[in-house]
Amino acid sequence: MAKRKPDPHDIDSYLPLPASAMHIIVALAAGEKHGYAIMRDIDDLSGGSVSMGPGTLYGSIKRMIDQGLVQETDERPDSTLDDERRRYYRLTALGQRVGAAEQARLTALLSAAQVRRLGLGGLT
Amino acid sequence: MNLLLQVALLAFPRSFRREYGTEWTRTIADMRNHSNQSALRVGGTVVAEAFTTAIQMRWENLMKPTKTVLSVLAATIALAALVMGSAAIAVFAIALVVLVGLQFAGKDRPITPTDPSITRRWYLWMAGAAGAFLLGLGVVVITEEDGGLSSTAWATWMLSWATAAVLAVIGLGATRLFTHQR
Repeated sequence: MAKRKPDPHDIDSYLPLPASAMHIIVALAAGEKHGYAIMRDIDDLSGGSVSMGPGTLYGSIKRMIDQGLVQETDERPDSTLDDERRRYYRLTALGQRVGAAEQARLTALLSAAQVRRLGLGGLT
Repeated sequence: MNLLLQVALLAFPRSFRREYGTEWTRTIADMRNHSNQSALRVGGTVVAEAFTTAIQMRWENLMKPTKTVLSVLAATIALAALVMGSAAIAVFAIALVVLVGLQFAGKDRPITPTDPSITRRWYLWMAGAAGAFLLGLGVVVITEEDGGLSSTAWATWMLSWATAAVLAVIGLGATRLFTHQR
């Protein structure tokens, strides 16, 4: 499959998203978070089956910032409860659109899997 | 363990260390403080993951044009010098130093998104390898005489095949790292 360089005017050019990027988007969909909170959220949402290391996390965040999917924010949810030095990240409008498009893509894929009864031995 | 983490951090490209090194370290401290696993286990996992991702980031940097051309040139000279014999060991060593220096001491560009089109570039690397291989073969076929090859022809043959080997390794590496990436 030929792939293109992502173009902000063409959401499909970002798809399929790397799994790590989609996990981060889902984590940030609930609001801005710092790195460790994103890692914890990914771990919780996956029931512990996905454990993202800090290298993968910040490598992915760096790429997503470069692509305009995520941005760093100066705002703090509650500065009295957290370390001011932490860096917080949030989804951009583009990131939300790309996340929604990836969700639609994955939903369609899962629907196809269900139709073919993949989970019930459809391949046997 | 802290020393080991600092060493692991050095494995990352300079641009990443500069921009995310502090956050990376702070996040690991959070992991150690809040995890119910031992600090040793957390540290070991983090270090292993760091080297894996650092290699990938450096490979991405390597695939960028300017650095790639210089690295391929240095690796080719090194390989050819090694094959040519002891007189060229000095060249080999210098080339190796250049190659390593480019990777670890050079000024990194910012980490950019993996260009999806790079999955197609491995064909170009392999085509280049095939071309270099055929060039070397052609030199042997055309210039070989009863007395064997002249020193110039032999050097050209070795240089061509060394180039082919380096290009093929890079092409295969690009295939493995990028077409199967996540």
